[in-house]
Amino acid sequence: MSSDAATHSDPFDVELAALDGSPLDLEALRGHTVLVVNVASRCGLTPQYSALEELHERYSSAGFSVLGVPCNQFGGQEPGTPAEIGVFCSATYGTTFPMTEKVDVNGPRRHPLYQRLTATPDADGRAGEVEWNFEKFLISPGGEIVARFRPLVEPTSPEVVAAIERTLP
Amino acid sequence: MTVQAKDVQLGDRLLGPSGDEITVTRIDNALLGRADLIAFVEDSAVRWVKVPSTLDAEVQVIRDLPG
Repeated sequence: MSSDAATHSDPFDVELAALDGSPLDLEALRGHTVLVVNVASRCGLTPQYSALEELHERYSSAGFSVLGVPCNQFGGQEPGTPAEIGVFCSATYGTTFPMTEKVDVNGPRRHPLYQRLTATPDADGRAGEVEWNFEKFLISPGGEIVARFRPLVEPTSPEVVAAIERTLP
Repeated sequence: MTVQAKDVQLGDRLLGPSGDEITVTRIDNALLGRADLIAFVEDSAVRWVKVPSTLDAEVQVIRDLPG
């Protein structure tokens, strides 16, 4: 890959606000292993929040972070305000990992972060659209998107944990 | 009109989860690998939304009559 191509595919070379609307310092995530997950508060998969927080706490001291990305495109299951989303996550699941503003992950208004993420195939070789809430993308400390896990893959499953441990800085 | 979800057709308009109307441009079978789940997708120039349903659910649709 040329350096030019690498620059243009850098997943964190984008503008993205935090859930509360304040600027999100994506530069602070460079050099870290990051698991990016599109989330929705009314999805049946929300128990994954607990496992995501477990991963975040287990590996944060080793240079790992989960990054939650609220999205309302799947069944309208993330309709709330930023405050409502924040309260749900922290009060229900005790999450401490960073959350972004609500964005589109598919379609004509797909956020540039997801334009880059969705070019990455999953283990079956399928790239393209995010399938549903709680799809996961693993980004290496060097900014390479190294793995993609579909929604039903549990965050603490052996394949996800192994990929994280291989990718830690 | 009301139809079963398995009988929804491309071009049908139905009420999305937020109460707004979506136009079905694609139908995905076996959502999340489940044979009993289907998803209606509006993938248009203005938006992308995906609405799940069980196959046997009753769905209200607006369908243009031919001619």
